[in-house]
Amino acid sequence: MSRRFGCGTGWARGAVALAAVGAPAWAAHAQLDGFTTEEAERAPVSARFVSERSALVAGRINILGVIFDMEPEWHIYWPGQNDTGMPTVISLGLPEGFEAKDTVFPAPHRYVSPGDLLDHVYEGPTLVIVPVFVPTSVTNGDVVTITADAEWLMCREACIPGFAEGLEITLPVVNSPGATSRTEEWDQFRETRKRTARPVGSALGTIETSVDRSGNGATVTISAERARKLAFYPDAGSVEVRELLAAGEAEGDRLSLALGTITEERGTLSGVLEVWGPGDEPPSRVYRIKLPLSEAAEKEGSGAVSPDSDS
Amino acid sequence: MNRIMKSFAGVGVALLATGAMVAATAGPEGHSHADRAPDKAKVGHAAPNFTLLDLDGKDVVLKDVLAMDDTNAVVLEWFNPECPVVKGHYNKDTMANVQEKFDGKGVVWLRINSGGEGKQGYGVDKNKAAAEDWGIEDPILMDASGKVGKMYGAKTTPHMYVIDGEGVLQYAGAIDDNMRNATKNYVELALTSVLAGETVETAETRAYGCGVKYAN
Repeated sequence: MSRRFGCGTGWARGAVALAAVGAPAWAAHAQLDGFTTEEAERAPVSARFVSERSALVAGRINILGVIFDMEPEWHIYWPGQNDTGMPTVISLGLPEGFEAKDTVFPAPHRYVSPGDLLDHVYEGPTLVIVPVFVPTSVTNGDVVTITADAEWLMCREACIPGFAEGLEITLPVVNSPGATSRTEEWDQFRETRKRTARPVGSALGTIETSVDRSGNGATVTISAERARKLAFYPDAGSVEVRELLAAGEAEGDRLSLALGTITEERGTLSGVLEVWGPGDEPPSRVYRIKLPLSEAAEKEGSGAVSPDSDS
Repeated sequence: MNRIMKSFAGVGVALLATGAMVAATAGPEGHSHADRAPDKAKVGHAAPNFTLLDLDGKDVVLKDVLAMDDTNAVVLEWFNPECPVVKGHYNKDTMANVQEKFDGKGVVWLRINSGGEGKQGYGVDKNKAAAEDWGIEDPILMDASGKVGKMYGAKTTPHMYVIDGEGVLQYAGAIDDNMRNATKNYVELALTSVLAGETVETAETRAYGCGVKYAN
């Protein structure tokens, strides 16, 4: 059904006109060149395109996803701040009128390599959620094919590039959610949602941030009531966090993050906060931190703790 | 496609003539570029000196390279011939294109492999083979203990550093802004500024690539 590797293109498939979203797949192939299709096919990480439900509902956002299956000890990279690696990238081929919403990556975990190199990675089967808006111009009974390309760097000790071109999913269109049923992957979507960052406001006031400024920089303290451990994973565009290896994870109920220079371009501390609570169930919860620090960012933001509506 | 290090033959002679050299220079406090280098490389400060062996077992000393009259800048490139990101760049001549632009302008390009013994990309033979395949004629220096890599804070391959003719580190970070569709080659931009005696606009970026395969 879907071809997972190789330099050929799956673009021609499908009866509907395709509009690429994101970087075109053929350009992606040049990124991590020097590997043959055979080598790629022996790869310890593979990707498949899945849907939460059995049909697409017209006129609303539908939840699709890419599952990366991995052999033990291999990892791929969360697209946030890492010392090494390359971000995992997914791009879609969509019919006209369809719209890709922001990809939702679940919270990663920290991974330290010799030389004190800190990365944020995924191991084991990992679902990345890809929401797609389906317009009302498609109607009950239509059948739609959506394609995806994924690109990643997979490493154990050595690294090899991964790419999957022309992943496909073909689904019927219906008019109401009641006309859909759960797919086999539905459970994995539910589990993954526990690892997707929710607005800090949903912690009901138990998470607080405070900022201590000096010169061009600042120290931000994040505290979470009753937490026994905290970790912070900064986004790619966030203000830099200094000494992230030492400071980004701590036992207890607070993190103290010394920041790099705050500029207009990097004016917000943004990323994922993981909070391990007093009990074991659930083991942890993850929240989105978005703390404006530059003048421009503060004008937009509402203050120290900013609930983020687009988790 | 890479430049022959014509001026490099002079290093061996310089070493013989002057004997072992190098002590940290104690310049006037705080202000001169001749200040003693910090222990860890920092943009805007003197680049820490090092001595490493190239693939033929010859010593290469950064200070000696800088001391040569016709050296106007030194580029350090952290290298691993088996890293797919490095391979990708060599397959599209990213480094060669920059080197060609500055041909004859006194830019010395040193590649450093800080991978530990037994790790991906380690070994004289592997690095010689890559040099052959990719037309690299500049020195590739072996830093298996990782000491120089850690001194420079090298995290990835590639990880790039541009040092001016006075030995001050003027750029550290990625080679460009996007592996797939680069709009800026930061090394090229830094070299252009350095050779013109101008401030480097983007002096630091976050490098990308495979992790340096440190021994520990």
